[in-house]
Amino acid sequence: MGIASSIVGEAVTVFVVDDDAIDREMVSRSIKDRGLKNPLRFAHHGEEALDILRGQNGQERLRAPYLILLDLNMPRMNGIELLTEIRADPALSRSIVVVLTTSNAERDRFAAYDRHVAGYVLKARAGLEFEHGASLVDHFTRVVEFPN
Amino acid sequence: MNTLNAIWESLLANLTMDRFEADIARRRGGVTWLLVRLCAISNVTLGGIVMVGWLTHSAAIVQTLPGYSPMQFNTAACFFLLGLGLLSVSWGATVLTRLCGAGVFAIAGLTLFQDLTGTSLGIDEALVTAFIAEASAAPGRMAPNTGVAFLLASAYLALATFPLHLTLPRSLLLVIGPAIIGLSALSIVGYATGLEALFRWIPETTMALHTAIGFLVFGIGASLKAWRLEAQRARSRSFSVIAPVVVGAVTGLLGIWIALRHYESARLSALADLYPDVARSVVPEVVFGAGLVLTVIIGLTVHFAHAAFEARQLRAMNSELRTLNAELDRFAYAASHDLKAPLRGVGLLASWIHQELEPDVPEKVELYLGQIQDRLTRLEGLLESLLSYAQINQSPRAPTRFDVATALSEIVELANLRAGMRVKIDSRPGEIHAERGLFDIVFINLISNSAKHHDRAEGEIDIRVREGDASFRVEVADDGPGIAPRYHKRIFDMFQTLKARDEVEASGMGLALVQKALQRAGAVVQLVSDPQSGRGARFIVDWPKGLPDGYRKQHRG
Repeated sequence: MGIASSIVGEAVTVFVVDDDAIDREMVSRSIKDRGLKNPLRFAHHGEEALDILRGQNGQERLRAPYLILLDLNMPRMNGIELLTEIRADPALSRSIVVVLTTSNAERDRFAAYDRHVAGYVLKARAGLEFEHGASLVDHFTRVVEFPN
Repeated sequence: MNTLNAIWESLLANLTMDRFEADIARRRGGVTWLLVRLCAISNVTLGGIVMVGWLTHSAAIVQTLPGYSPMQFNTAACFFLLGLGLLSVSWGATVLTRLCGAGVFAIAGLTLFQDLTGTSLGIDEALVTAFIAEASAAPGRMAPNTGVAFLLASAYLALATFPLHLTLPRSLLLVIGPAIIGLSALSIVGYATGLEALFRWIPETTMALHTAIGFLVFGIGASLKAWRLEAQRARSRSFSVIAPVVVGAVTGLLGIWIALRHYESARLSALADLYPDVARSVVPEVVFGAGLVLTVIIGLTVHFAHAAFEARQLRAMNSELRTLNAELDRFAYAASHDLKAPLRGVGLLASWIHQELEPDVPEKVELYLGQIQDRLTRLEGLLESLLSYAQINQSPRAPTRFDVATALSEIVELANLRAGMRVKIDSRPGEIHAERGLFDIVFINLISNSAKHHDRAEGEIDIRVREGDASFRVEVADDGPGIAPRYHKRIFDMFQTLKARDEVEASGMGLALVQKALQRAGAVVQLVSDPQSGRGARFIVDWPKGLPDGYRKQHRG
């Protein structure tokens, strides 16, 4: 049943929340290079991401299933703040979030896992061109069951 | 590179309060410095003018007013030397200070010797003949209270040449200045109130009024200088406040006691005709004793008040330090993200440019893009090590007990040395109580440095541990090219490498990290190496078995 829904169902959207244009480009390039067909969507900071997730303030709502790749250090609303909002909102609380950051600080790791992220990926470890990150996205969206 | 260095240096400078404190101290010192020199110059001038007065037979200068005691020629000479001595203290001219002190000591000491033994050595009129008739046993001789004050002053000059870190000389300096002020104040009060006993210790000779004023000026200068020296020390002592208070109180009491006795003997002689056997009252002694008790109480109160004040200041400084540490922490955090993210971005752009040009990338573009990546890697390494440097004092890990030999073999494993490097560890088990993180930083860097800077394909690193009474001695020796003695100090500074960075990829931070970690751990390192006499470098680390003194106080919270 799970496999069927995954095959039959829509491709998982990769939702990249990152304020750095180069990092957004890195994710989309690597996903295309790997030949993945996942739709991509981008937000520049936590507030915009929240608008997209809720479909408010003139943003088109992001349709499930989606995988959020979340940067932590961002203007206006940072990654941890966004995570807190997501977990507090019953409509969003089951979202699957993978943190994608340069920060290897213990307090960031703890804060992220306290808010039930599916993984914590250091940009430096995701491969020079995010190739490991892209393969993670590939496997994750193919193998893992999404909540919806 | 230089900009980064400058930014870092200025950040460190801002975070250490030393600069700020030194600034305040310098400004406060400026006024004191001026006053001390003014006092010294007044003394020189006073001595000089009176000597000229003697040579020109000018009674107005020597005596001030007819009937007053003259300032003797020797006294004037002593003042001249004293002022010069105080000036040279503030210049830091040790030899001149000692010479002046010795001169004053000789003149005053010999005079007092004459007084005590009743002899005459012929020094009273050695240079000039006394031309003012005075009811004096020995013409031209300075008064004994003048002599005592000069002896104290010469002791002051001698003590001022001792090294600053010695506590006893500094303490004595703090006492002598006020004591001289006290002696002169007694005489001045005596002149003002007409109570001769205060300035006339023996019937024959008295301290002249301008002599007393000269001592007052010297005492003020000397006290200021002593406080200044004391203020340059890191820890302030309650003694620097108590000493002048107690000396002042005792001098005052002495004055009161002398006055009361004077009054008492006047009363006795008035009553002597009527009541020949009336007893002397003990009121002066009782007053003196009660005063002493009061002085002790005041001294103790000042001491405890000072201690309380110090504690409060320490708390304030601690909280400021915590704020600064938190700031440094935030900086480290910002550096890890905000500085690294753009670097990564540039790296990615370079590699995308390469990808977009493929398959025919011009040769030069290929080369330049490669060099961009190299520099980026280097900058990233620098940032990493700066971060570790900043974080050594951050969020202290609890000290643990661990076995030195095991720790070292784990570190060798972790250091992941290049092929061709052999490591021998010669150590018996032995337990150490320290922050494991610091131990790791020190030996990972020493060991990987030995490997990194080795000039041959095959090399050997010898690690030996010897257990001493209070510390472990860990030696890390290699058979590499060695380090010339003239570099032994410099290599421990930040960003120092002895080879071009293109030759050996190094941040120049490794030994700076070692140094800072050792400092925190209370350990020390020596380097034995001289390429002229043989190959190899040997770093000798002495690591205390237990936590260093004051560790708990410094690193709590």
